[in-house]
Amino acid sequence: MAFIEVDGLTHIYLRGTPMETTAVRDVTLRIDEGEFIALIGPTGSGKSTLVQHFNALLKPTAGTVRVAGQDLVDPKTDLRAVRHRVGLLFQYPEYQLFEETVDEDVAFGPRNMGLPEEEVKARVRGALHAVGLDPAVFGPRSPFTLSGGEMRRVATAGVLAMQPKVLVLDEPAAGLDPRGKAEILGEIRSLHDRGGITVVLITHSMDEAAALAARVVVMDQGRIVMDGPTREVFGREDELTAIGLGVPEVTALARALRSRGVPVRPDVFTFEEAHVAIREALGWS
Amino acid sequence: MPLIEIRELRHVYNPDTPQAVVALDGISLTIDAGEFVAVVGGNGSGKSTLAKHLNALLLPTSGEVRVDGLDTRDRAAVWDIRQRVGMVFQNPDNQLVATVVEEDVAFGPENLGVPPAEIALRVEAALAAVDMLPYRRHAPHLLSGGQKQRVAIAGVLAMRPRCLVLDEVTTMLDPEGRREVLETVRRLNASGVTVINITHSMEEAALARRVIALAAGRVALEGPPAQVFARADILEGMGLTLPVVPALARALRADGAPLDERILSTEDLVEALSRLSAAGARGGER
Repeated sequence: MAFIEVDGLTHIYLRGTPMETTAVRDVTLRIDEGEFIALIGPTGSGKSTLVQHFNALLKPTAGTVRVAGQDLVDPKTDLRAVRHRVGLLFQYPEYQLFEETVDEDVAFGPRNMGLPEEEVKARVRGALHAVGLDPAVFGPRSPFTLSGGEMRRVATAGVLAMQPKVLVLDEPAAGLDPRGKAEILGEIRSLHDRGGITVVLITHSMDEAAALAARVVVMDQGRIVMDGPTREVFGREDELTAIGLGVPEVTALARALRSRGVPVRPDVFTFEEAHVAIREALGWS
Repeated sequence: MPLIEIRELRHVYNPDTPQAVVALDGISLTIDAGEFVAVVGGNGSGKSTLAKHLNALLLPTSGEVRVDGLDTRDRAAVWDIRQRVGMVFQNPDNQLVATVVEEDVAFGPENLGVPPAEIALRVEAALAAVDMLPYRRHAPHLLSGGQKQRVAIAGVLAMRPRCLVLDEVTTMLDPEGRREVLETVRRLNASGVTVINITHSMEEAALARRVIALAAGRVALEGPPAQVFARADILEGMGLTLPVVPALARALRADGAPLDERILSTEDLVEALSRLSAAGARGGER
């Protein structure tokens, strides 16, 4: 049984008004424990609306969503428990920091779960470690004295402290400098690889999707239009371009080289793969 | 001719308090009319603080900033300066104020007291310049991110500025929106508008004709993109990385490939590698 099961999900905003908008149309999706999925699609394609159903922040207009077998519209389902298992980190989560210290901010979630204070403290320390911040240094600081990258990591720690099974991240690296970007993405990767956490990453960067995810789900106009292994999805360049997306930069480079007669293999999706493929094509390997 | 002259600019937030932060620490720069400049730097390097000095949203703690000869500290010149230097910011949803696109674009010139007939002409020209004329009667909130940013740019263009300062304007956009906005900016620059693009995207910086890299409130590197990207060691020390194509060229150079350090774009690299490949094939036949 998949951990998250979405069946025939439709979500209509402002139904019955002149502003009525169908954001998600008849979406069926399975997410297994331990997966790393990139969810991509143009602005307004329904990505954010879809993931907000994973922890019942939104209710389906039609269709069902199950998490660990529990139907989220069933009044008997404990939604608080579901929200502890599926952590959602929105875009620009630093705007959601509000406590006086980093410790207090990260403690907010676990404290709300009603955990004993000792456990809360242990989780705060663990979560700060997990995002690469030294609890002794950063714990007592005011969130408002931190850099953008540090704030982003504190917000991530706040979600991790609830020890969710699934982490849904909406553009976690947007607006960060290249180093901050590499750090936060590296931490997400290691939470998945070492911690076994299931990750759903919403991103506008095809390079990020290719470097991190094993599976890519593509949305357009509220529907899932592609869903498959990363290499397979990024092999469909024409379809991706037609909906305003694209392929990783190195994939486009490899195609351009082939069209000029340089025999580079077509399935090149990351920097390292491109480096090796070009060496092979030029006979240097 | 210099449009913007910055001399020994320092900016300190919360001066004379324990929270004092030196954001800019002695910046001297000249930007000529018609230039296309990218400003890069890590989070906290001073990029946005610098941008806000270009239209007197912030004033120097010491040093001076002149726009078209006007000193930003001269309070009487503030509106002339803001008319000359328009800013567009990161979040397209925070910048559009009206319920109809053309009213939004008219907002700036109305505030300048431009006569209504002239406003109508300016709005039409500005929307045409960003390729959004067909959407003039649409509601801004129903547009895509790239379209919203183009309307925000049109709103600035309607003030007839000499210079456009873009502060991370593509960060929140999808790939198509990003392409649309960058293409619009490139076209505006070709038509004579000075562009200063503040960005975290090194790929975008490669599109400019000059790159200024800030670190700790100072200019750390400055020059044409190829020259700046040749200093990968210094950039990495600043928390920056090379764009993908120059980085790949560099990795291949380290393998012994005779590739030029000026390689910036995919086209450059494809050209160079296809020449190497053809030469290799001929070599193999000998």
